Parts: sequence; structure tokens; C-alpha cells
Amino acid sequence: MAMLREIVEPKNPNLNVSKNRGLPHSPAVRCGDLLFLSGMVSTDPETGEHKQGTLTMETTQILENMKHLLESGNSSLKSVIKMTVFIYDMLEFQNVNEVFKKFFPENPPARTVCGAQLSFGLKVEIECIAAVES
Amino acid sequence: MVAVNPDTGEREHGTVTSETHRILQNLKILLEGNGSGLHRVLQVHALIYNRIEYDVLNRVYRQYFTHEPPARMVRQVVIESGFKVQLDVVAAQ
Repeated sequence: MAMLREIVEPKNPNLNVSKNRGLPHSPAVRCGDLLFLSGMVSTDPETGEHKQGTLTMETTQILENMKHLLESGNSSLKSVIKMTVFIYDMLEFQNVNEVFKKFFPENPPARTVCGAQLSFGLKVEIECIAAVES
Repeated sequence: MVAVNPDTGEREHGTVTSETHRILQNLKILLEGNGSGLHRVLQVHALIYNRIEYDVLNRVYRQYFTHEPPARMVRQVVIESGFKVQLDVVAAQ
């Protein structure tokens, strides 16, 4: 039997970046017990605008927004399986780890970090695959 | 996937527009031949040679994913053989 494919959107409409900017992707797609998230950049949950800052600040904002999106889809940061983190400069790798330690104090997900060219002067972009909690 | 002619197997270098069309058409054939389809795509990693062409990619992309598009990540990378676009897709059956 074909598995259900369902679009998941954040409860806070300001964080529905793809819809607000008319971009051809969805915030997250659920299939069976898996939730696939699009790449997320630092977005202000109050205004929906890009929120540029230090790598530490942007990573913290993204993970908070990701927590919100995951919870909107019956998941949570604890259920994240795999994360891919793109940063503007690998010199800041250790700063990513410091923020991750705060959000994932134990049993962190599998993760890949790599340096990449990002848009709008942003320093971080994160995507993930998570399990849906029953 | 990169832009390959489905009749000859030759690589089809072109613009972001032409390569994206070719890849999505081939993807459609591949998915539909295996009990899936573009509407069953869950996640796409779209790799382009330069982020300047982000809107160009979106213009073509919208024509294939008109309703409930998949989750996506767009990256600027150096692609093998001088291609401008490469798509990496996860789909459900």
C-alpha cells in the first residue's frame, strides 16, 4: 500500500517561509513515520524576516524554529534522526558544536557539517529528517 | 540526477532552465516507471553552480511541482562535467 504523503506547516504562520515568499517548496513533508524538513535559515518568529547575526545566534534561532516546526508535525528535537548543517566558514565549526550541546544534551542525532555559500549574508542553514512520535 | 538525453544517453549541457527541465522530465519517467511520481517526492536536494540562478531554477521547478511541493534544500556547488544543475531526490512509492 502506498504510504501517506502529507505536508506539514509550522503553527506560527510567520515561520512558513516558503508560503510567505512564494517559493516552490514545503516547510516539511511527512511520509509514514518520517518527517523531511526543508533547509531552514534564521528567521524572526515575530516578523518572518531573515534574522542575521553571529553564527551562535543564528544557529540558536534556527534550532528554536526547527523545534516549533517539528512539534507542529508531532515530532520533536529528541526525535531528529539526521541533520545537515551548512555554515559560511568551517572556522566556526566549534561554535556550532557549542550550540548543539545546549539543544542536544544527550543522544544527539547523526549529523553532517560542511562549509557552503549561503544567500542574504546568512551564516547557517540546517535541514533534518525526524521520526514522528505516536 | 544530471541532464542526460533519454534517447541517446548523451549529456545535455545547457542553461539552468534547459537542464532543470530535462532532469525533471527524466525524473518523472523514472518515478512513474517504479510506481511513484513527482507528486510522491518527499525531499529534494537541488544543487546549482551559482546561487545567482536561484529564481531561474524556481521558475522551472514550479511548473513540475504545482501543488504541495516537496521539502527542499538548494546549494551552490561545483558539479561534475560542467553541469549547472543536479537534483538528488527522495520519493515514496
